[in-house]
Amino acid sequence: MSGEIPKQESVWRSAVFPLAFKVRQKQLSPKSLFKLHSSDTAPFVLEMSLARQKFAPTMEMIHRFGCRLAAFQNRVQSRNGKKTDRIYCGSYELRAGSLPNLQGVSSLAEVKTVQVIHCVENGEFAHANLRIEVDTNGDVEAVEEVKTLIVDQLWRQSSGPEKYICLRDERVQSHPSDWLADAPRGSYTEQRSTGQIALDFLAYAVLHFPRLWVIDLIQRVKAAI
Amino acid sequence: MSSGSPGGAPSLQSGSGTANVGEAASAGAVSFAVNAPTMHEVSVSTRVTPRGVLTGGEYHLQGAALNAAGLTGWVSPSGWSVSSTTNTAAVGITDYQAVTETLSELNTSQDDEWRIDGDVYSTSVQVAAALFDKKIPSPHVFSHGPRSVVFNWDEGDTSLYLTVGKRRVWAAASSRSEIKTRIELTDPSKNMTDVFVEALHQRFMQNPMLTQLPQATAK
Repeated sequence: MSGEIPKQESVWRSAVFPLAFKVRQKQLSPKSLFKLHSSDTAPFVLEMSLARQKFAPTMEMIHRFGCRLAAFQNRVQSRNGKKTDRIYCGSYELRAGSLPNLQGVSSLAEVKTVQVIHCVENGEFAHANLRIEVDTNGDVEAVEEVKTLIVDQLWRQSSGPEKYICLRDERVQSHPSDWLADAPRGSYTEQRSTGQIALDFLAYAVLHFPRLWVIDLIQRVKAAI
Repeated sequence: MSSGSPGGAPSLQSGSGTANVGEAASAGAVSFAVNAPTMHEVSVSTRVTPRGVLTGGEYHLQGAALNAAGLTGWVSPSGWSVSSTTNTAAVGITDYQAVTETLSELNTSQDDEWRIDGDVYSTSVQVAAALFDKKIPSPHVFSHGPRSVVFNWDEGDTSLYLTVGKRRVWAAASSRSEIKTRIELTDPSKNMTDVFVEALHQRFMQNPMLTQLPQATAK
């Protein structure tokens, strides 16, 4: 259940921040929130989780995606006996169509492929993955520098943030959402009309959600068998 | 010249006392000391204790990250007065203390997404000491995970990055339209460090922005 996301669509990067670093906000760059993951087994494949707006058509749904993401990450932390202090602070918008341009950035020849893939994960139907393959001639450590430059480009292409405080975090004093810096492209401007958003919501509720639910169920059953 | 606490966490020391900057998981690997004759004049030295990856000739910053001194003047926030002829600068010690505290917390964090490895921490503290030594305004910090830490300065459209890995340091500058410069400062084969640093140094003394840097070097 995956496929490339059309270029005209928006995707959102959830800003999830560990509360432990709240006192360090002055020193930490908000670029910290654009984390590119690479595993030891696939060090040249960089991934970043995103939310696909088509399947979270309202801002509230984007934020609820972020709240659930932070809660999920805290559950994982808890299972590993670690602090469960991650807090969703808001989201930054990226245009799916602008991301493949990373391949064409001069002086960033290591970037081989860029894909924005819709990929349901942990029951999140809006979940998408930014997947970037890099080639540093087998030099694993050099990937870190490439990550820096990719994060730089992602940050420059982002807009927002749309800040948010999850219900469970309402009591947090000095909520770290205040820390989120304005993105270089400025505030997010809703391009869709109210009618279009309503139609998108309807399409999600009537068409996409049931379809994704059935596909997800089939995959879970297959996995169980 | 005073020194960091032996076998302990890095510390900034002044004539009036010592300020610990946090316990590190790899405590004792690197320390640096600051001698502050007055409240507004500081000098610094780096000291590497014989432990960890930074020892035994395995790792040499040589003139690389240490020569990042050429970055002096890249930004000129209020409160800083940079001099090219003397080793003095206005304050900055608390800013760098906060930077090293942040690095220490990243190192000891329980959060796998934010934690940095001990070797990366050790190198990054040493680079921070070098930046402080040359009166570079304190950077913002971010990490990609355990294998690196990034020092970042932004001014207007231009960003400067120092990516610090386990035993390597890269510099990059970018703007909205392009990546202006990429250099591995610790790459001995290219030996571009001195040229790059000198170019930075001279340009920054004339112009705090990165608009006149050498062209980006495609890899």
